Amino acid sequence: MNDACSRVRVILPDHVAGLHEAEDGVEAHLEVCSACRAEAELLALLYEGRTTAPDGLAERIEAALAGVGRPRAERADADVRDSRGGAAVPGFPWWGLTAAAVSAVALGWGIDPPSPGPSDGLPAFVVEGEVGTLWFTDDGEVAGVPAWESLSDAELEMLLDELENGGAA
Amino acid sequence: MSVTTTKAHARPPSDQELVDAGQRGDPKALRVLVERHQDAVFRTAMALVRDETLAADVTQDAFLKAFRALESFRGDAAFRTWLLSIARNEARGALRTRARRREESLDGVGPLASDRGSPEEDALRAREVDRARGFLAALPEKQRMAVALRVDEGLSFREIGAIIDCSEGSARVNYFHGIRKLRERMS
Repeated sequence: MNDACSRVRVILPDHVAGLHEAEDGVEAHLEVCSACRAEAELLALLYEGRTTAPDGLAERIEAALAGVGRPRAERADADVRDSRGGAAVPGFPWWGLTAAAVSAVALGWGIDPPSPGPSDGLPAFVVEGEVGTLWFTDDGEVAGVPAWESLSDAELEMLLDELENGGAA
Repeated sequence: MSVTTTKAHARPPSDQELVDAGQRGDPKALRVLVERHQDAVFRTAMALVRDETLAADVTQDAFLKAFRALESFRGDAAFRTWLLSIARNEARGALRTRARRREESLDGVGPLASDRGSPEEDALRAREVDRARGFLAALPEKQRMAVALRVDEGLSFREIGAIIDCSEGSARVNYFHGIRKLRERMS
């Protein structure tokens, strides 16, 4: 293998994929070099046999992503569920919301609301909380920062179990 | 204004423009990224897990993880390289999970089946394609990944190194070792 072969073999995959122009000298080299021609044929077979994503995969991903990219306030609970297992998609980025933004959220067990009471016009179980103190639990519910200090050992164990195992244990 | 709906765009939006739009909350931008890169992510997953069902799961998980972390993406690497790195990590995690569950053995994974219905006159060619892909699937992981990413995706050795977590030189060596083995096996 000479220098010409070395140069050609580096760019051969691009040539096979049609990413290089004819004037790159590859065609001329392949006409006189059987070894590189054989390699080009192998690469052509590989390239021809490359797979594509199965039909419907993009739609499946989009379904799982539903809600990502929209501000939190526009998303329904169902939006944050994974299409495969129905599990919540944790850790959604809070696009469109600033740290100072305030969102109305449902109160869960053991939650210490950042503000003391419900807002005007909202049901009693709804409070306002700072976005930075909220997260999604594994079952897709919105939760806030637990009041760790006020929990008994048993309550703390229950909370940890819920966070780690979804409360199934 | 949505980057994907701007009429003034005379060219398709770049990945970085789509990422910027996604970070601003444009769901259409994310959809375009999925449509643009799903094949590459799927093939990268396939190169590792060698199972279409698992590769589809890995593809979905890779996109979910990438979009969750999109805010932290700073463009130090190309979006595709970053995404394929995530796909590679997801695929390795999926393999570990599968190995733990012992649902199936990698030893039982043979050459990839073709789902293309070739005309009779193309049957020989189709068999050769399947042979080549089958031998590729049987290469050691880094060689397999280097060849797949170079041939299927047209990535540079630098990009491949970033994805499979090795140096550019090592990616090059793995690629050429893999190609040499494939040529030996095909002859």
